[in-house]
Amino acid sequence: MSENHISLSEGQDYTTFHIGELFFGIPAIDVVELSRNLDVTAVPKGPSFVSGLMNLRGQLVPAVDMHIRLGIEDSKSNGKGVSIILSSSGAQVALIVDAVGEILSLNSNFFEPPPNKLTALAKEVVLGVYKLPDRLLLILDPVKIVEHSSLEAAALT
Amino acid sequence: MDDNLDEILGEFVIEAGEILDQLDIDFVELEKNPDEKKLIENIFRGMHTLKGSSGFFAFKRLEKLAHACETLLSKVREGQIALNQEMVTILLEGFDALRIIITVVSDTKVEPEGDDSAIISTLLTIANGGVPPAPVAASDSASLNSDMPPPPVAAKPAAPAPAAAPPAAAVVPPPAPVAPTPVSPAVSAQAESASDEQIHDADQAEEVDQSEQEESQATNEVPASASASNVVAKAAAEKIPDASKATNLELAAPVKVNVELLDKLMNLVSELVLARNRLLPFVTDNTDLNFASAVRTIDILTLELQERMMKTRMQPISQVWGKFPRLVRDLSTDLGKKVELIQEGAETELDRTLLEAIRDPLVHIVRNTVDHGIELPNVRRVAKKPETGRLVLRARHENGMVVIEVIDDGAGINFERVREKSIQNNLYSPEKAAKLTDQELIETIFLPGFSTKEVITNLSGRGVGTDVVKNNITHIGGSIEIESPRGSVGTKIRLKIPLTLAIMPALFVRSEQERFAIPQNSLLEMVRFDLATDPTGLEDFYGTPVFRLRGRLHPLLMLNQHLGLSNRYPGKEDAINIAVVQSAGVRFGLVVDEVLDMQEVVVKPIGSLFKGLLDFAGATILGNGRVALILDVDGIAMSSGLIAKVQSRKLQDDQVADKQTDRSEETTMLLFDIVDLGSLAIPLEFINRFEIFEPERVQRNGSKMVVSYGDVIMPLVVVKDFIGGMQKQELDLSKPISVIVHMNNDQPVGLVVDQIHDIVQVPKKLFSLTPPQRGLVGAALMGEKVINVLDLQEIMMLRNLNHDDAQARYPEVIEMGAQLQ
Repeated sequence: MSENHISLSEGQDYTTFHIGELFFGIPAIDVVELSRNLDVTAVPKGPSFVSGLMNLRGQLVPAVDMHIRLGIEDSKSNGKGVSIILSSSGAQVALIVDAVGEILSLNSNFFEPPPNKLTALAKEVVLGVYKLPDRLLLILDPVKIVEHSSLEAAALT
Repeated sequence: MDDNLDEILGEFVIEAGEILDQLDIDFVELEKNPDEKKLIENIFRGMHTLKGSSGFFAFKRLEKLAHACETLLSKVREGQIALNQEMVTILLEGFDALRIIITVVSDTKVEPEGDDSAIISTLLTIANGGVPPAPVAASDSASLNSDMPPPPVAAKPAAPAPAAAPPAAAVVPPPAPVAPTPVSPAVSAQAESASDEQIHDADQAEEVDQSEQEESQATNEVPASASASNVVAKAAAEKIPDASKATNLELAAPVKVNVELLDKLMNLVSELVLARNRLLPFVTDNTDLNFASAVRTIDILTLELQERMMKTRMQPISQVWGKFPRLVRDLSTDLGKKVELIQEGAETELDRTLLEAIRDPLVHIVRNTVDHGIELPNVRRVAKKPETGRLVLRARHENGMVVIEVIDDGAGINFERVREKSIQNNLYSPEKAAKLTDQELIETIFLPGFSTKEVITNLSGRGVGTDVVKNNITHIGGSIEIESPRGSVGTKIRLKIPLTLAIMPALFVRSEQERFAIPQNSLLEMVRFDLATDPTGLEDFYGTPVFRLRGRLHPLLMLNQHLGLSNRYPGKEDAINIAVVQSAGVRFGLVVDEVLDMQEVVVKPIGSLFKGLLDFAGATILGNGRVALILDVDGIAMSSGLIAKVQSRKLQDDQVADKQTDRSEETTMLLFDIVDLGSLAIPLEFINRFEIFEPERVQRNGSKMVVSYGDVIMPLVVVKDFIGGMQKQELDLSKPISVIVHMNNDQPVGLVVDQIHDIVQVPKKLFSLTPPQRGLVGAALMGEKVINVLDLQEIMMLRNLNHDDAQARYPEVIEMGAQLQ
């Protein structure tokens, strides 16, 4: 559904961020705000990629550790990253990433299929790849990131 | 366009429902005061509005049915027919048929197929029966009223209701524009009802609501009827004086806001409160007066905003009670009883979700009361009571709870019947049942197995049972009590409901580094269990750690292990904190690392990402802004498999059950130790409290030892000295002494023992000791163990004699067993 929505649109804004060595983008329209230093309360027995719950102005927001979500094991990750607060299918979720980059305006017609070297987990949520002059930008599907079925799959791996 | 139509249809359904609710209330009122013209007017107009809107949507069935009702009503209104009960019943039937159709309309947006010709023809026959030249006149007047409400209709209300007319006129300065508009009947009817002193407060409130509803629609349809909003403004002004005074009249029409938005606003306000709290300390550090005054303003505004916000979710209990006049009327008519329903405190407000939750239990209680509580008129006459029974619904705020009472002056609970039923339903053995007290019998009513099917007619017992009523109430953190003194003086059922579901008291505990909240309503008690000094310690019950609390085995769950926080298991010398909780009838202990404080928490859902996670009921935000999880005791019991484990081995359950059934054969005793004597027991009823005194507090008063206890001097009695065969020894004052405080003729006496253990259930039957031993009344058998029971009476008697020659004067024969009977 959302794939159609995204591939049809042209010249959209994307919020970019870094996880490990990789560079990602997500439609800026889904991003509510960026936040730093929010306390995370761990939820025991919750899915492994959810580091816990955060208090965002009185609202409970689950924090997704993008390293684990995408299966990018990286020793640099210490959970103290930047939170991208995303509004996805009515609910808010925080993506914890290593650093946030600039906002880029991209034409989705130039998206290419994701490369094979990505982990299976990452492939599920990567919509496509955009070739920037110096590096690759992986475009993520904001809905898939918190979609329950894919989360369950992720939880099993 | 479709959306627009759907929206209008939605409004129609809501409006129609409200009209029918109001009609129910008005009708029951009308039956009591058949001459009340205003009520007939109201009913007529309500029906008329309904018919008009049905016509707009081309709902033919609704329109025809409403038309027939209206025809009969118009006859009554014009005084051509006197209203009788038969008419009321057929009209109410008509309303029910309308309601059913409207329900279908709201679900499917289309009118269901069906035939209402029977009701319609009865309605018309009655309408015609009253007046010979009826056919023409009836349809004439009806069509006149429905198709083109002429000025006479609007003018009429003033005539039958002179009292109400002047205020109505005052509110609506130009009466002329009202008349030609199609909605005018509703307008003036509502204006009347709003100023009608006769009608109960609750009804009035509802009417105002309804009038607002109708008015807002009226304004949409006929923008010209400015006077309509005038009336609303007045009505609204009465409800919320400050709010509406400031606003423009146009804005006074109520706005429908969805609950999600309200919840969001509520969240923001809570955050604002926290932000304000962070701001306040700056005022004391900062000497800038302007800054201080700005902060003070924010402080006041925040407080006010918070209060207002809380109110938005609150609704008056009349929302639920509104249905009761009709319910009671129908029930009592069916049963041939006369019941007067009195509502007090219908304006008492509580959270809307709670209102929903108490609706069914309350309906059940009211049904039961009318069905069982209130007697038939002839029975009441014999009992020298007025023929008409009274059923009082009373609501009020009390200590942050809403108390709802349902009081009747009927026969009260038939305790013998309940006793019989409890035997028939296999809840108790006949012997046990015979001994139940009234209070225990009342509790029996709430037991799941208790059924009164034979006793109950087809009226009660529909839907929920009494146990479900209790469950529903306890589920929302409320409680239910019944008072029913013997002597046929009636019954009082008292429900205590928290003001809001979202806020509940919870105990915070720590497990490893995390804080968790345990909802207070699932918490039974907190126990600190010192494994080093306890003789039994943690025992193993088929792989589950258990501990003994007052002779009962409780399985234990280490919270840190269960939640996977750590693998730590308490060592043999540790003292552990146990939260004793209950789920599905099974008590168990949650072992936590530390007990923190009790707090009121705002429960927030943890969201769909944690779907399937049973252990948490939600989360809350602490004062410092951090999130804390709220434990779900039922969920933990389930996910840990504890309940399944315990239930799979009936051993413990059976033991517990056995214990309960012959509890009447048992007595509760306090178990304690005296060195060289082993375990002794003393009936709990003789004990006031336990104390541990530091040796320094023990003082000598002549030959006796005393401690100051409160504002009196309490003598100490070394129990050991009074038991036959024991050597008298100096009290060891090198360590704190354990003392059981016993009230002897209102004077405290401290019984010094070596160690206090536990409270146990012991069979009442005591074995006498041969030969009798001084200071002991006999021995009780607890399982395999023999426990000597202290003879307090004797010890007290001996103490009063001179200590030294007590031995010499010791009587030869002691009356055995007198103490315990």
